[in-house]
Amino acid sequence: MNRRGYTLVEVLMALVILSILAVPLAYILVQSGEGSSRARSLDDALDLVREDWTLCRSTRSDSLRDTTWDRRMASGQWRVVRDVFDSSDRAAAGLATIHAGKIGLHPPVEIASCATLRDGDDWDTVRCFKWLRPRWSGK
Amino acid sequence: MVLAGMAVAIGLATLAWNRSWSRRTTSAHADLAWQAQLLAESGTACALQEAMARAGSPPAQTPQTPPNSTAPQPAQKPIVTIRDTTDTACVFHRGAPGEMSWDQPAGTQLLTIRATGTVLESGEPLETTMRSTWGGNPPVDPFSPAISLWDRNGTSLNLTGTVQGQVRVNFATAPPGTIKHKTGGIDQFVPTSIASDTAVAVARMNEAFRSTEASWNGCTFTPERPPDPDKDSLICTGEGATTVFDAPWAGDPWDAGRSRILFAEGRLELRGKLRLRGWTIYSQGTVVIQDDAEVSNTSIFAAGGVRIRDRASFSGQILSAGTVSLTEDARIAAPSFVACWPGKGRDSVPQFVLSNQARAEAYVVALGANARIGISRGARLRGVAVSGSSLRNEGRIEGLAVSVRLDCGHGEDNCSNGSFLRDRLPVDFAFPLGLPGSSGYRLVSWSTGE
Repeated sequence: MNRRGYTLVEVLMALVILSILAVPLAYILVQSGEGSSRARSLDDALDLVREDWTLCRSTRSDSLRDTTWDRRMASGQWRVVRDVFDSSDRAAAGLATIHAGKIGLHPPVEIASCATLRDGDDWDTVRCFKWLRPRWSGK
Repeated sequence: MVLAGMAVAIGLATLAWNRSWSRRTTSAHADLAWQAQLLAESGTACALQEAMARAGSPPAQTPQTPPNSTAPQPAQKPIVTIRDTTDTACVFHRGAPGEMSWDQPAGTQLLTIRATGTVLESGEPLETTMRSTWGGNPPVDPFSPAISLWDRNGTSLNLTGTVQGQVRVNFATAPPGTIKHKTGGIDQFVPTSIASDTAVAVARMNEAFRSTEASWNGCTFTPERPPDPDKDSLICTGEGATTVFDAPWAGDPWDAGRSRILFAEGRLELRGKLRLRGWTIYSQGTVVIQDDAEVSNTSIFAAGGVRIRDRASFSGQILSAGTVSLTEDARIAAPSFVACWPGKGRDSVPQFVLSNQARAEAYVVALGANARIGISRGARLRGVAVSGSSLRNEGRIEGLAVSVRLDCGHGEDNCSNGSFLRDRLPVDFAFPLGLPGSSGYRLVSWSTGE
């Protein structure tokens, strides 16, 4: 078997090729990490808002209030911000007050729940979901 | 070797890149699908809100009205009263995350709602449909006995069949083995919103038959000539005309397609091995369901009575002016609600009849001075039977019988040879939404699909 060492030219060529290919390789690796991180954030945001939706379902519609709660997860520090379109919002929008005891067609309760992720001193909103929930009209 | 190593490294990196970004796409799709489902749920909330407004509208009868004259009076009843709000009942005030829509409920007793939520995903609509059925939460006590009678002129009670459960009467003197009612009347078993449901149905029919979309002289649908897939509602006019869904007698059943609203000005016949699911049917004439037809999760408003026969089956809600009858091996499956009141012409008597081997699992209400519920020997009703006048049970009632009087065909005062088995009423039985004293709504069943 004829064995010999690499020549200096071969080594230099290999280093040149390595340095050229390292650029797209690094780009791909960085992008992969970002894609995974982003997907994990979306999954966590969905899980948190689903949890908030479950909390809303177990609460009487006329007892729903604006709420904020925090959760520490592997992807970071999260804060869920629930915004209920309540009587003060209705008044600000110039809409009539809802009298729970009266018979009639009432609008459902409007809920917005956003999952925000801590980024330094700021909170980045990852996902917001909105839905309506019926309120019992009373009899 | 160096080059080969580099190629492997790049290959692995590309694979990782591909997997991570496709995972991100999957996560984004899951988010949008969830928002679409929330919109479908919001549409359901809107439909439920409208139904509750109707269920909460003024009662059909005053408490002083005698129990045997509980006929609805559609012309005098408000449909929906908007008193508290000046804005549109269903709207997102802080920007809608997509679109929602829902079918207008035909009746409000067992509320079957089909609602749709739509969001955009890469410019394409992503749609989720939610089907749900809702019932009421009535007070427990009036429904605890096996038999509840309201005949003020009653003097005796002769029950020769099996009775499991309490018997309550409001006779001048309670016969041995019975308990006297303390409070209330038969009205506590009659949903208050039947009249407004009727008014809504009649108004919708009148509007539909004047529409330019109407097909003159009825319609005949077969597997070869199915309903137009682009139409959400089918309007078949012509008073003497018959609208027919004619499925084959043998072979595979014919599914008539996605749920729609059907308006038939004359008689409607559903026959053969037909499948209808989630439809809303308004008919000025008689509705006949026969052969092996399977009609499920459907609301029927019929101004000329409903006949279910042969091996046909039904589940959902029936509001009928005139007789509702089941013969041979016909079935009504849970959850179901049936109400009938006096009609016009043939089959005008407000009666609910189970003959031969027929079975029904439903909350049944017959209203009017000549209202009657009849259960033949061999037939069975599981649920609640409420008659504004007489009830004749020769078969089996598994649940609660409520009537002014019990009839056994002998002219004798309050008698029956049938079975009354209160303990057989399922614990999850679906009560109607509009019962007086109902403390809210209850989800009976639901399903979603993209």
